[in-house]
Amino acid sequence: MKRVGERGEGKWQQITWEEALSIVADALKEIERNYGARSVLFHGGWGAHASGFEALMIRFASVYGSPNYSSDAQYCYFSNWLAHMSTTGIPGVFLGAADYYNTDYVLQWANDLAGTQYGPVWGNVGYVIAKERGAKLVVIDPQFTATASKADNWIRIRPGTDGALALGMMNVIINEGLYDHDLIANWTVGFEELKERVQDYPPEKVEEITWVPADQIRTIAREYATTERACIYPSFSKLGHYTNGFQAYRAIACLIGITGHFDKIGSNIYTMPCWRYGTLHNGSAYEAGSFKFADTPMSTEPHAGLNVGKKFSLVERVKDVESISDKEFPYYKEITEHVAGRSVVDALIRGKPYPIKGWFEMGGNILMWPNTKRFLEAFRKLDFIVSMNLFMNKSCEYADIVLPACAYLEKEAEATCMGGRAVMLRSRVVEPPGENWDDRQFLIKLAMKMGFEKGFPWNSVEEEVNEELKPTGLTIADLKKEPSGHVFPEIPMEYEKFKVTGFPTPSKKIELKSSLAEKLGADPLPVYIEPQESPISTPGLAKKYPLILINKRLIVFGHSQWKNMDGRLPWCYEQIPGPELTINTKDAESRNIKNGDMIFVESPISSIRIRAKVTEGITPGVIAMPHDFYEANANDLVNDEHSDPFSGFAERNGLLVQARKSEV
Amino acid sequence: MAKPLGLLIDLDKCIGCYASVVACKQEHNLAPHGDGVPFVARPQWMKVHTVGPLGTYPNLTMHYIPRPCMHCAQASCIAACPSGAIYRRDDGIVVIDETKCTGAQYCIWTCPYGAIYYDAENGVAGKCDLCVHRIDQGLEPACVLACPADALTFGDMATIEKKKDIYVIPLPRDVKPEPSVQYMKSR
Repeated sequence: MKRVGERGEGKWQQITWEEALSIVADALKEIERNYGARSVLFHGGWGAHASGFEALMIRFASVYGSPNYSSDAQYCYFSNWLAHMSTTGIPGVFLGAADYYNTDYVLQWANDLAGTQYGPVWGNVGYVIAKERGAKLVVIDPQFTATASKADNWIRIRPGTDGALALGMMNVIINEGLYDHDLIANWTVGFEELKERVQDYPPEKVEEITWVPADQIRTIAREYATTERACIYPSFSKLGHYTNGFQAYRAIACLIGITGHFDKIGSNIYTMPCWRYGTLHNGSAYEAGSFKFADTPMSTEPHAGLNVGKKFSLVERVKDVESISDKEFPYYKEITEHVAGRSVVDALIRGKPYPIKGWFEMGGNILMWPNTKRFLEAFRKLDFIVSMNLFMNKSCEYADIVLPACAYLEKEAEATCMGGRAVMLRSRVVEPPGENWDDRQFLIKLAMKMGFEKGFPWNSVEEEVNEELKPTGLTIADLKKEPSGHVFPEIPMEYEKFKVTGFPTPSKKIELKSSLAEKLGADPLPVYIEPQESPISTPGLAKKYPLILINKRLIVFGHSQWKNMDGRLPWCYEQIPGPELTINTKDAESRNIKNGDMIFVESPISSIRIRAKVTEGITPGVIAMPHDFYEANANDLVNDEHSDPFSGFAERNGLLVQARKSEV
Repeated sequence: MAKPLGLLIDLDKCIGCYASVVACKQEHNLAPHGDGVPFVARPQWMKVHTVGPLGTYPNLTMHYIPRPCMHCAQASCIAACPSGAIYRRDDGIVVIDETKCTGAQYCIWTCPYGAIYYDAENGVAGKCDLCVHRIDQGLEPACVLACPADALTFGDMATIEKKKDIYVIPLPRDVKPEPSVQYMKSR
C-alpha cells in the first residue's frame, strides 16, 4: 500500500507489487544520490532471525552500499554475547546452555525460563528435569516468577546490581579458596588482579548494594562452588537492559570461569546437544558450512561462526563505509555485523554521527525504541520509510510503503536446522492470503529492479536457498524427499575440549582480565558500576521517583509481536488480564493503591496508565510491567540518553519511576 | 465399570503456559470469549488458575492449577440434569449428550468445580469430555499432547502411579464427588 495522506493519518492507496518495487527502488536511488547509501538504515525485526532472511537482508544492504543494519538482537542477547566473547571467546548464548539433564545445582539468574516462551529445545522445562533428579534450584530475580515458584530458594535482588552479587560471590569463593586451582593456574589470565579486585566487594558491602543478605551471598557462593555438578543459567538478555549490563555479564562469566563449572557434565556446556550442528539460518551454513562450525565450537579463530555468516552477507563490500556505530561501538559492529541500538537513536534523533534519511524495515515495530514518543517525532520526518510486516503495526502506520509479508506457514522452501542435527525443509501449508510475499522474494525482486544482478544472481527463492544449502551437499529436491529432515550422524558430546584446543581468545585462555573488554573501552576486570539512574547514583531523582521499574514477560506471547495486532491472537489474549503492573503490597499501601486499581506510572520522560496488581511476589521498591502494549508502552518511559556504554543497550530496566492512583 | 479413566496432574511441573487451554479450544472449536465477558462465563473447557503468590517473603508459594471437568464418580451434574442428557460412560468419563440437552443449566449451578459452561449460541451446556473422540481412537486428550512440561498424565486412575502427595481442591460444601482427575504435588 502507498501512503496518500499525512504520515500516521491512515490514508492508503492499494498498488501493485510492481509499482511498489519501482517506488522503493527509486527512493533508495534518490537517497543514495543525495546523501549516500549509508543514510538508509536497514532494520530486521524478530522475523529476521526466525525466518532466515537476515543474512539476505544484510547482503542487500551491503550491495546497496549501507553498512547500517540493526535488528532486535540489539536488546536481545548481544550484550551477553559480547561479555562472554570477552571472557572465553565463546558466545554467551552458548555458554548459557546449562546441562540441566545432569546437574545437581542450578543458579537461575534473572531468567524466568518457566514463564517465558521458549520451548523444550531451549530448556524452559529443563528445571523440571533437574528437579526430578533432585537438583537444588535457586532463583535470583527481583520478581517471584513462575520459575521462582518452583525453586528451593528465591533470592530477591535490587534491579541492576547483579554484577555486584557475582563479584561478592567471587570474593567468598576466592578468599575461601573454593576456586578450581588447577584451572586457574593453567587456563586463566588475570587471576591475581581479579583477586585484588574482589576485595572491594565483601559480602557485607554487597548486601548494602544488592539488598541480598550477606549470609545468603556466602551460602550460594559456597554451594555453587563446592557442588561438583553446578551450573548458572543467566538470562539471555535481561541484565543487558541495565546500563551496567555488559559488566554484569562479564562478572557472571568470570564467576563461571573461576569455579571451573563449564564444559563438564552437569555444568555450563558450550553447546547444548541441539546446538552442536549450528544453525542454518542467518546464512551461517554458507561456504564453510554450519556443520563445520558446529563441529569445532572450540575453534581457535575468534568468532568463527560469525565469519561464516559474513561471507554470505557480503559485508566486506561496505567495510570502508563509515557506519553509525564506527565511532562509539566499533567492536560491537565488527563482531555482530549490526549497528548498536544507541547509534540508531543518536543518528535518527540527533543526527550523530550523521543523519538517517531512509528506513528500510522488515518485521519490527517502532514501539520497541526507547523514549518512543521522541523517536516517533524524528521517525515521521524521515525522507522515506518502507515497512514489510505481518500486521499493520505502529511502524507501518507511519510508512510511505507498506508491504504484506508471508507468515512462516505461507512460505515455500525454508531450510532450517535450528535446534537439531537434521536439516529440514519447511514447506508451505497454506496459500498466502491476498498478495502476501515471502520476504526473500521481495529482496530478490527488488535487487533485480535495482540492477544488483551480481550480488543477487538468482531468479527465485528456490535458487537462493539452493545456494545457501551448498555446503551441506543437499538441495531442495533432496530435502523434499525427506520431509522429516535429513539427519546427520550424532556427534558425541566431548567435555573439556579446551584442554586440547585452548580458548578462542587472544591469550588462548579464559580472560578474567579481558583484552577484548579493554578494546571495547571497558574496565578489563569485572567491576560494578551503579545503573545510570538508581537510588544511589541519582538520590535527588530517586526522591521524586522512588520506585525502580523493570520489565516482565507474558508467557502467552512470543516476544511482543502478537500483542499489537487486530484481534490480538484472541485465544491467547483471553488468558491474560491485559497490561498489568505488579507492585509490592507495602508500596501499594503507602500509595493507597488497591489490587485492580488503574494507576499512573511516571518517569522524568513520560507517563502511562495501567492496571495495578498488588502482590507479595515482587521486591519492595520495585515494580514490573510487560513491555510493548500500545495502550501502555513501557518504552515511553525510557530515557534514550541512558545506555550501556559498551553494548549500546538502552536502559529499559532499572529506570526510576513513581506510581500514583489514577482518579479516572 | 471397566476402569475410571482420568488425568493425573503434577502441580510441581505446571508452569501456567495455557498451552492446554488453547489446544482444548482448538480441538473442540470453541470461540474466543471476546472482550467484556466475565472470566467465569468464558467457554473454556480447560482453564488454568493461578493460585498465589500466597504468604509473605521468604515463604511464598504459587501454583498453577489446570481445571478440566473432574469426571466425578459421584457426579452431581448427572443427578441434576432434568433431561437425562448427562451420563457416565463405562470408562468413567462424564459426557453431555447435546441432542438431549435443553439448556436448563442446572448442571452448571450444581457442579462443585464450576467446570460446566453455557453455550448461549447453541443453547446447550458444554464441558470437557476428556476428548472421547480421540480416546476412542486410542489417542490421548489434546491437553495432554500439548503440555510442554509433561504435567498431565492420562490413564487408568486405578493403576496410574502417584509418586507424590495427592492434593485435593477444597470444596465449599460438604460433598465428596470422588473425581477421576487428581492432582499431586511435593511442595
